[in-house]
Amino acid sequence: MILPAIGLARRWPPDAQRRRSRLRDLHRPQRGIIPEIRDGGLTLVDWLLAVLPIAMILVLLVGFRWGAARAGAAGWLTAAAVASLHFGAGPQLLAFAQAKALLLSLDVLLIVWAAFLLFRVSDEAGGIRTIGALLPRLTTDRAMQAMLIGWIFASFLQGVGGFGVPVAVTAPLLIGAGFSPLAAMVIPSIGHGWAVTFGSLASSFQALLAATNLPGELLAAPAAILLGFCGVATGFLVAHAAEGLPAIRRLALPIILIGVTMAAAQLMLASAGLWNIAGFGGGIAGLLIALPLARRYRQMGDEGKQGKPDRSAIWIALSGYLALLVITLGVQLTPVIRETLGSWGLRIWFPALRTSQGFATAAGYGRIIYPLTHAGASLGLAALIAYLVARRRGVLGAGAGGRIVGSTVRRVSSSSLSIIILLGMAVIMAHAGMTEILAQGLAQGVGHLFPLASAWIGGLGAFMTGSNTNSNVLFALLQQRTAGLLGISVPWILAAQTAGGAIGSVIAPTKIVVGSATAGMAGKEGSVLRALLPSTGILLGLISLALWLILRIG
Amino acid sequence: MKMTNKPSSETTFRRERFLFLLISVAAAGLYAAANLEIGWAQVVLLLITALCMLAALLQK
Repeated sequence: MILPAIGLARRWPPDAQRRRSRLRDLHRPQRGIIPEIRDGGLTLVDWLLAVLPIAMILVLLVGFRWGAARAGAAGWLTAAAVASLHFGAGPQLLAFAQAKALLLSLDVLLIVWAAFLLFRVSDEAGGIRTIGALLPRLTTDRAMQAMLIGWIFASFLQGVGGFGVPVAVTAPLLIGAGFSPLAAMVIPSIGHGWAVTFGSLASSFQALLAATNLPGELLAAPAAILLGFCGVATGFLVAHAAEGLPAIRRLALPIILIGVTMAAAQLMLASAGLWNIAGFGGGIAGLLIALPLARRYRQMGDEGKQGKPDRSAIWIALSGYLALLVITLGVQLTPVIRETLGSWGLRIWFPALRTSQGFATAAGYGRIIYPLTHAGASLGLAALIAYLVARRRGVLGAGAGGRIVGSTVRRVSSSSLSIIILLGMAVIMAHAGMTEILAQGLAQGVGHLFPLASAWIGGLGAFMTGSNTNSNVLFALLQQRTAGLLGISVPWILAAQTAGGAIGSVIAPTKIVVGSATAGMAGKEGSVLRALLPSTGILLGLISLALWLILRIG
Repeated sequence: MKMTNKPSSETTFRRERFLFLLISVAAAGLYAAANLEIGWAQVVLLLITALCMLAALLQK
């Protein structure tokens, strides 16, 4: 009998040493692994059956326009059936796989729930509306207005909220500033995409870590670099969407300044291990540099149009995020606090598993969750502080607490179900050897052109499933294995996966539907999608090109 | 391209929440059953999970 091994356990001292050694191994080329893993056993039937769950999700989402949870359930059932009937996965393997998926889901969902709770507190306090109303008054240059609202403010909102909030909030503001409904929908959609991975307090990035079981220190910098390229390019695309080529020529310098500042802030925070506030930090840095720059693009005689901003409302709106900043920095930068709080983790032991065909998964702990240093705990505490500040200042109406919690639960219920289903499918596929077979097929099929395809696979996953998070859950393991088999740097391929997922999520039907509803474009989603496709294609192409060059140089 | 624009109704929300909770509880039970090597419990809980998936699949 295998004894259960669940509990709050102290972090092992050798962890750091093992992690460092693992980081070195993952960056090292791993050529010649293919014959060692599977010696000539890959058949077309195996590969087609392994790809069936993913193909089914793709067809149901795109062809039949089902939601992610519904299509994911079909994928789960297919994966479980194929794993049992063809790949020899027994009930015990399926049982442990589903339990492991629950642990991974908990790790991701704690952040998703707490991040949206924090956003709802700030929104309920009225501060987000105040900031949004202030921005158009800073400049009369229409392209600069589009950049301020649709690129920088939308990126900030993605950093703090996500879940379709950036487009839903900024599209009406752009319409109020005189943009057409289509432009008001397209500009923030393009504008916030680069901030998705580290936005929503890095819930997509956390999903990448959960799916691959790799440390964040390894993946954060490559992902932030590829997304940084996209961030700068996004500025040009937004200016072009607002006023065409003349705007690009006129605003090239501020676009580069703002874009590089936001990308650098995100990169620095992510590289320092503060990835859950990297998107937020990038947005704040963008606002700080863009506000004085915008004033330079104000036409003569406009001074009188400027009203005084309600500073109190802005500070109340930002109080939760400032609290988050202090908590995160305090925990990460103070070794005593970090080690004390991080010394307890929820770890669950999983035994070695083997299919009847011989595919083995080593024994080990599932995702270890450190409750006191988890990003979800920091977010929850920040939300509580923001609520208390807003309540003390009297800006919350009657029943605000109930509305905040109620809307949070309602908003995250669908995505929670999607995540647990998709993670279940992904873990079953991994434990049954299906992901391995898919990776081998891809490695043999596209060979060393695989880096060019990585971002597009991530983008396709996000388009299919409606989110960068779901795309990472679905495809990260596949990309990881394929890169390993081909001897390509795993961190860079995973960076392309999540960067592609971030950009691809912009054109996901679910996001377009939410944004269109607020921009008065309901029923015209096809027009929005068509308008977004060229920009999305350019950004995905840019990621592929940047990755190709980096791998060639590196 | 036509896309559906149907906000999550109260029924859908309740069903999603219920399915999420049931799948979570079943997964926790699956861990216990697999650890204790109780074969029938594993099969029953896997069937419950599969039924949850079927329910999610059939929702509109």
